Amino acid sequence: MGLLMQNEFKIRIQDALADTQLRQNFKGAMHFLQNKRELAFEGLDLESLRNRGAQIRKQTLNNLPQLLEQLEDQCIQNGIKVHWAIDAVEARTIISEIALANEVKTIVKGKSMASEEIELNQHLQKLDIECLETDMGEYIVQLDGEAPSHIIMPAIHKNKAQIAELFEEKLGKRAANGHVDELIGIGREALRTKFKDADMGVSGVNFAVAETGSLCLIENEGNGRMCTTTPNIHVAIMGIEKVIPSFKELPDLLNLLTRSATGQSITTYVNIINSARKTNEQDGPKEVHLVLLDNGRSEMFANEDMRETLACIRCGACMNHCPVYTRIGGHAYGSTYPGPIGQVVMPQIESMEDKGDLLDACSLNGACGDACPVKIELPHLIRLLRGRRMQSKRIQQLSWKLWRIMNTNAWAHKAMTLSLNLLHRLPFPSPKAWSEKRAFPKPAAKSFSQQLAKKHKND
Amino acid sequence: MTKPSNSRQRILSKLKAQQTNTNLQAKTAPVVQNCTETHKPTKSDAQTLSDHLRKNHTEVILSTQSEWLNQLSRLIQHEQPKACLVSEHPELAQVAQKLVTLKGSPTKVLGTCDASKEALFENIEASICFAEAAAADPGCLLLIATPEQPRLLSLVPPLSIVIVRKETITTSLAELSRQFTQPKARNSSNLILVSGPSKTADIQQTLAYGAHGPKRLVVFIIH
Repeated sequence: MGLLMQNEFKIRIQDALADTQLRQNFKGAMHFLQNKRELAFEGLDLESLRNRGAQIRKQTLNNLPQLLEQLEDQCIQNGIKVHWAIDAVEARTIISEIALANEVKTIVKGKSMASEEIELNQHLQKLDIECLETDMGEYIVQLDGEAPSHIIMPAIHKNKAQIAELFEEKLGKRAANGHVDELIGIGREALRTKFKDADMGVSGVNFAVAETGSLCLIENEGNGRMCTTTPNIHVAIMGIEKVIPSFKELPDLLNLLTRSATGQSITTYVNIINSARKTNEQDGPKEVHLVLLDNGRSEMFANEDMRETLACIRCGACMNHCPVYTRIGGHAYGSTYPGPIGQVVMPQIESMEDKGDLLDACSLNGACGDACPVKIELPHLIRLLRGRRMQSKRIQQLSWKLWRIMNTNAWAHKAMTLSLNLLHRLPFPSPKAWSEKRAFPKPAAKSFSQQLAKKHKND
Repeated sequence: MTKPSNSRQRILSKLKAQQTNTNLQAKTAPVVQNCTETHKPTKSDAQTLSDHLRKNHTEVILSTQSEWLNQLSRLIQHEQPKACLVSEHPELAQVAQKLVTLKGSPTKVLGTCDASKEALFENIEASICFAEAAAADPGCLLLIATPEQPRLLSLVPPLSIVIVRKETITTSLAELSRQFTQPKARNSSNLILVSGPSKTADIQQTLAYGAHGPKRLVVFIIH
């Protein structure tokens, strides 16, 4: 399995690199997002904001189980039904059982990475329940039978001409001038009736406030508000790490999240859901459910080295600044979370055999760690996971051990340079992965240490 | 509905076991001082709010207690929406009366009891809501859902008009967020912060307004 996945990842990378349109789309988009973020923090003390963000997340994680209990208590008091899911299978079963019990035919869904993580759409489809993505980017991607390529901008890999073509083919609507405004208008019209008629809404949660049992969702489009207000049932799904103690922590985290993600000082809407519809109220769902998803998170919590992974607020800044992501795009990773955070999260929530190869797609340049608004040391975590991955690979382990000996012991080093100098003259085949794109390096006629020794002698 | 699972217990005990292992003190929720309040305003809060909202494509009208109803009427007369839904928030008690008496206006003025889902999605082209408060920085309005002011009112009609009083504008979001735990907010099913008309940049990073919510947001700040 591991070997197959490894090959698939390499193939996807090569396909992505060969697609000039894709590379152009990504290069432009990442440059745009990097600039937006830089401008958004202009005149602010970014370092102290990041320190504050890191401190809040750390303190929150230290109290994670107590905060989850408090959140549950408060939600129940507010009339929100709370469910706990140990893994993806349990989470999607909980959601589909709610849907089946209420004879739900259509679901409208706001953007939620947790629901992508549990592959909710595929599961509901098998049960003949239509589950429609309503975030404009997600809608476009779903219409084309694809997965999102970026956690904040899901359709970043497509340009407007490609989208106009898709709308014409799937919706039978033609954008006369191909302008973005027209395209958005087509999407808006197509989704309005769906919002009105849907039986159930599914959303993610950006932050859940333990003190009051409030679910906080941020967005620009209004689709999140539609999904959580119009249908009679609202199901919210969140990773257990998304809890925060109180509203006191919210402003700083929102500030960091929106500025890092899209360069906005605040999103168009910050939606704070306290409860289902109250007596005498005319709208709002009659039932609100909250699914608390573990799916490997308690395991990350259990491992002190990796606990930091849970501090992530899902802004996407790490991928926007990653030189590898910028070149290969989100799809190449073949995982729910791409980019640096994906490289750290995926091997932990799935397995090292299946997702360990993602760790290779990193040059350890450190840009992700520098961009992270809550100061997660992503390069350090990637290194740790690489080390863990090597534990099961005897040959690699042995060769790195030898490499270390040869580079820390003067005699061994001398022996190595001498033998390399001799061996490269023999007609050995050079490693293909390297020599395909580059000339194989030739050892110098005289090694550095030989030259140094000679210089010393002459002096 | 869902069969009782022991997942809750499994998740919590795993987390707690690790807490004891690593001596993480299970302290009460930490009190965090907000650091977003470092900003020192040189302008008035109303001006700052208006600047920020305008940056987000919101049309802002700075008005006075004696003038705002007339200005609002002129806006409705100019825009001529087929139907305009007015929130029954006590602060807006005079609005419907005023709009109904507009001479020659084709606009049908409706109250929130007419705010059925069907009507909202099909006929109503404008709505008028009241914001309980606002934050000057980063520029957002706080709308609290009540039976008199339903949640969909500020979301579905393409033209959204919101009235806010100058004295309720706080300097920062941190200050505004203190109101989220006050009884009025706690008793509401839903609080919304709004900073502009609905928008998206999902197609080729090009900003477009009127994604799924209002295409236009007009805010009256009343002095």
